Amino acid sequence: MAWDEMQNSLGSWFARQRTKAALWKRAFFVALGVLMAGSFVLKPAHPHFGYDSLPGFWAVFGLGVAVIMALVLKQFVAKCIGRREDYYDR
Amino acid sequence: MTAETASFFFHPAAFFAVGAAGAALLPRGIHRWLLPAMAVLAFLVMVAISQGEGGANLHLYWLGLDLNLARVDRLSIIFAHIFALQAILGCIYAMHLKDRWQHVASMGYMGGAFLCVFAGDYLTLFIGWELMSVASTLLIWFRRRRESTAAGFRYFLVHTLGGLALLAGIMLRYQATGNFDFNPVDPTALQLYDWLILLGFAVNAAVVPLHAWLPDAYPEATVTGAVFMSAFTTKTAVYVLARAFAGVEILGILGVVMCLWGVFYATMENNARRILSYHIVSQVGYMVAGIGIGTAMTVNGACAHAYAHILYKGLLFMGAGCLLHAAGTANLNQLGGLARRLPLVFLLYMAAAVSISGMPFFNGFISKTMTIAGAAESHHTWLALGMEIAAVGTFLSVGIKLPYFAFFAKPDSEMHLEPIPVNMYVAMLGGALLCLVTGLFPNLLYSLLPFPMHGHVEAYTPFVTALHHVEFHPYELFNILQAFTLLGFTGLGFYLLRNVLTPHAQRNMDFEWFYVLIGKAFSLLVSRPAAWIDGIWSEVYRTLGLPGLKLGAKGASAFDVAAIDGVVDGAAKAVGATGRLAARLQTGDLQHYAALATALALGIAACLWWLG
Repeated sequence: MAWDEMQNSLGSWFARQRTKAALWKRAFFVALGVLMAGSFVLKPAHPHFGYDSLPGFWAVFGLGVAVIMALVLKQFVAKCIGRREDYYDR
Repeated sequence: MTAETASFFFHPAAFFAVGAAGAALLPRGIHRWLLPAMAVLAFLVMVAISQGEGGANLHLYWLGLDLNLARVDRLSIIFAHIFALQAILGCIYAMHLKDRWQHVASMGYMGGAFLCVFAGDYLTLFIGWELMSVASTLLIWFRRRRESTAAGFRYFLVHTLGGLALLAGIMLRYQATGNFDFNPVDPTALQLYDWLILLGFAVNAAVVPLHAWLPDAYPEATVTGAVFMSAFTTKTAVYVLARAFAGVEILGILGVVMCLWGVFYATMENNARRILSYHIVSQVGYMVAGIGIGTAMTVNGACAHAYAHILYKGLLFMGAGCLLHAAGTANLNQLGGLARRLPLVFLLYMAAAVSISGMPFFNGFISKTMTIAGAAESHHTWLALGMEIAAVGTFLSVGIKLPYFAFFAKPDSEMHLEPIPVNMYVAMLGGALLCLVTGLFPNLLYSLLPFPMHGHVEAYTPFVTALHHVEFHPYELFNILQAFTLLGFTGLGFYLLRNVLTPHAQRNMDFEWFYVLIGKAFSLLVSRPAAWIDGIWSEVYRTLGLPGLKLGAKGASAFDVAAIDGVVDGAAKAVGATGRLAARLQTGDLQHYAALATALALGIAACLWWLG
């Protein structure tokens, strides 16, 4: 059936991409570099916070918030408030 | 019933009533097509009335009350428009279901939502509100698992309490003002009854700390039920908040707390549908914040975000529902490596994931940025900053963590997968296209906003400020760069810490822990004195009651000889039937008693307020 074939070829395309992880990784870092460079060229018309007119502000903000959230929440908070999965069903 | 209107209106709830009856009575081959057809009709009505400027009213005079079943203005139209659109997608997604009662429940649920959105008075609103509450509880129970029965019960308890607060507010308000008109409230002069009504609305909007019912119950709902529930309950609450409480400062702060709270819990969560549930709390936070800040631009942003959110959140729940349907679980630690087997689910899920994350060209970008810009431009800098932090967390959990651990992370999965019905794919494809189309052509959505960018329309509320400052252009080059930079570097953060972020099988305690504690304390408070009184009563009964009863029995037997047997037999049968009914009510389940007792106590309290 055409439907299954389409699904299958799409699926094997994803499977092939997983073998090319190094290439995707390089593309990702190139994209990040381009975005970083862009922040030196473009400036906000109306900066909301003052600092956000500095080049690279949103890069630092995104990375910083993601890293802090991951570390604080998963390494600390989750260990304090975690219970068994069936805590309310016993 | 009189219609005070120049323009055309037909109440869409009627279509859903027909749908509910059809699902209950007609054979499956017919009702599975009837339901999407009813939703399409409702949408056509919405398209027709959105061309006009509204202004229709449909009054029903009943029991001496003037009920306005249809206040049609720009604010109600934008919500009804997206409700009808999502109803079509939801009905298509549910077409394969063999359980007709699920269809009846979802139809009743959506009908209730339309009743609420067009209600011009508090009584009509309350009826729609309670209909939604009951029908959505059924959508949880119909999963027919032990966990969902318990979760549905907790859900219903919370919504009953919220509904009673709303009812108490409505009654007190009627006593003070003499009417049931559902109109904007002056945010500088809130009365006790306004606060009670606000409390009732806040429960359904999942405002922290009243939110815990949502991530507790939605992951336990049926696959299709969760799709409907993700769209209607919280967004109906957003609508009523926008209608009555725009400009109430505390909502601005609570909204941002919601944004962050939802995001934080989602970072720690393992169950895909619970991650998405926490992100409802977070996304509704943007809307509540926009309403609380109360400039024309932020209220517009809240409505636009509700519109976009219903589309992408429905699609996200459809995607997670596919995982649950196919693999039998939505726990990320049990999934992984599914991209090879479910590539279309992955692709369509990602359309919604980048939408919620605010990626340019998708609809989250054109709505989220409006609320944030509105907040910043009205000098609510801290609130705007909180929303930006939440945007990072959104992409981290919904945009990367969930799909990475479900579709990649492990070698290609060999687990057994149930086939996914084609209608589920069709609904998801429709949702994905709509997310993209509204993102690419924002004016499709902006033209529906309550404060239009072009042309003059009378404001629905006098309490919204900066009425002429609503012009907004999302697609400026810097905004696009900023959005991609934020997402890209969030991705870098995930890449660096992907081992830390690996989900673990655990339940994270939230405010429901306190609800349970309060419930236990309450039942202790009730049962101890009750046991004491019961003890005394037994004693009195034994010493006085039994001899009295024996004496009475003697008299009765004497009377019985003389009495007409038929009458007595009939009465005995009735007593027996009542006894059986009472026995059925007394299930012996402590939870049921606590719920009944709470409902009764609050009902009595509401009556006392009303009378006093």
